Amino acid sequence: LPPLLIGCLGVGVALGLLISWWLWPVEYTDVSPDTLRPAHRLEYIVLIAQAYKHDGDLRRAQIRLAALGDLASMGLEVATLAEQQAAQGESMSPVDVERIRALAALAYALGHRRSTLAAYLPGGPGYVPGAAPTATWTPWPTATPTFPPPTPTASPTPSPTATSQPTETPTPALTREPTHTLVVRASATPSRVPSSTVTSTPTLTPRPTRTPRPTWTPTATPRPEPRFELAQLRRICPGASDPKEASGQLRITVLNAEGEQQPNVELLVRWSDGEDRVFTGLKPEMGAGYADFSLERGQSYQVGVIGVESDVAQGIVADECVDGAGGTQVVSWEIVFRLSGAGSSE
Amino acid sequence: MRGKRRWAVFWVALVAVLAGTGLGLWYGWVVNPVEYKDTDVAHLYAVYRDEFILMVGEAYALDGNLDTARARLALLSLPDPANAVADLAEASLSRGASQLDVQALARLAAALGAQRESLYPYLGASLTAPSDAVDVQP
Repeated sequence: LPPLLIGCLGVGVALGLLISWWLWPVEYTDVSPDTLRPAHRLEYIVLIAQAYKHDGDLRRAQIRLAALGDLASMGLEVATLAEQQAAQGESMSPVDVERIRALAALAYALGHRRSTLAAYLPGGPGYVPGAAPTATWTPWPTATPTFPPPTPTASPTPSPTATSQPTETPTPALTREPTHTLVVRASATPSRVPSSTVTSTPTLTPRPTRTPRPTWTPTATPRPEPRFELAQLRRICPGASDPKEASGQLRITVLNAEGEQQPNVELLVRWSDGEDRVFTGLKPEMGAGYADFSLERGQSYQVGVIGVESDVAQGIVADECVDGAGGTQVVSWEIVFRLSGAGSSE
Repeated sequence: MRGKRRWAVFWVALVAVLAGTGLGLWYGWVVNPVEYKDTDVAHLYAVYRDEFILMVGEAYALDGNLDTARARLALLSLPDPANAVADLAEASLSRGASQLDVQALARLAAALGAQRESLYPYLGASLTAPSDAVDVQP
């Protein structure tokens, strides 16, 4: 009997799997964009970029991108996609060029600045409206200047005679100025610092006749862009310390750069098959920068600030925990975003 | 006696097959269901399909390439793309969407051959839109 039983059970399992996997599988008719096949995903991203170029609404583009994946990685994906398409070289059609321009503009707006895409941005080197960029382009400026001015290291020596001469070409043109030190600045080859200094009265300050001419003048003091950073992400078991504490709640606090609560900040809360937006400051009794959101048991969420660059709080799972009384509760989460880089420049 | 035994075996076998089928269905539908990783745009939620149509309209407003717009709409497998775009344009109009959105959809609908009287005002001159969203600092 047991072999027969096992055999029949096996036949039954096979029948069940045949039905559930082939004949009548689970059907997903309402899927979110993050499940799209690569080709459709690519088209969706290009459309987001072109729509952004059309309406200029970055917040909207961010919301659309959030449907494809977490906001932090989507900017990178857009930039990478633009680079991949730009790598096609001269075989690109005008339509391709416009697609890349849209992608490059969106990547730029999302904070991903690639030198390879500079030629596709208005104002970038090699940018020609309505045409493919020229083959030669100047690299994107980096935060560090390419030609830092050399710093004189030697101090005036008591000896009144110079023992060596700078040998750089072209020879700096000297002008007389009523200062009391001679400082030689090399400009053509900044890595070489002249070692000679002469003490004399009056002294001369050579003025370089040539200055380096990078096509894009690097910004010496890069200004950090405002960005909301995730300052805290804490899982709380409600009722563990306070029996009246609400369960299954997402409590978000947004702080400005000074650490004060910031109202009217729009946040995107996203889960596997949906998303919603919440604003801080709607419950002033909880704080000007406070917002909350009810979590659904078993669901996982991502939270980010929209409209500006922001970290994305991930791994927020509304699972269960055992409270102080031994009962089960849906966990709550506390998130704090803090603004950094706002207006601070050197 | 022998007949009773046969019946017993039959019932046991039947119960085993049913139990196995139930087990198989439970595994196939609940524990390890078919996963759709590579879905089509056509299977998106209605809200995302509408978003997709709107973006096609915006892209068409940007590049004026009707063939591309048609190809993109074809991904949605709509029975009547022109009227679907026009319907969305009217729905956007009625819910107070931005003029830029309504105009993009109305123009695409018109280009595809769907004419709606309510959308005529949006087929005229271009609305002001930012031409370049990027501000590159040299």
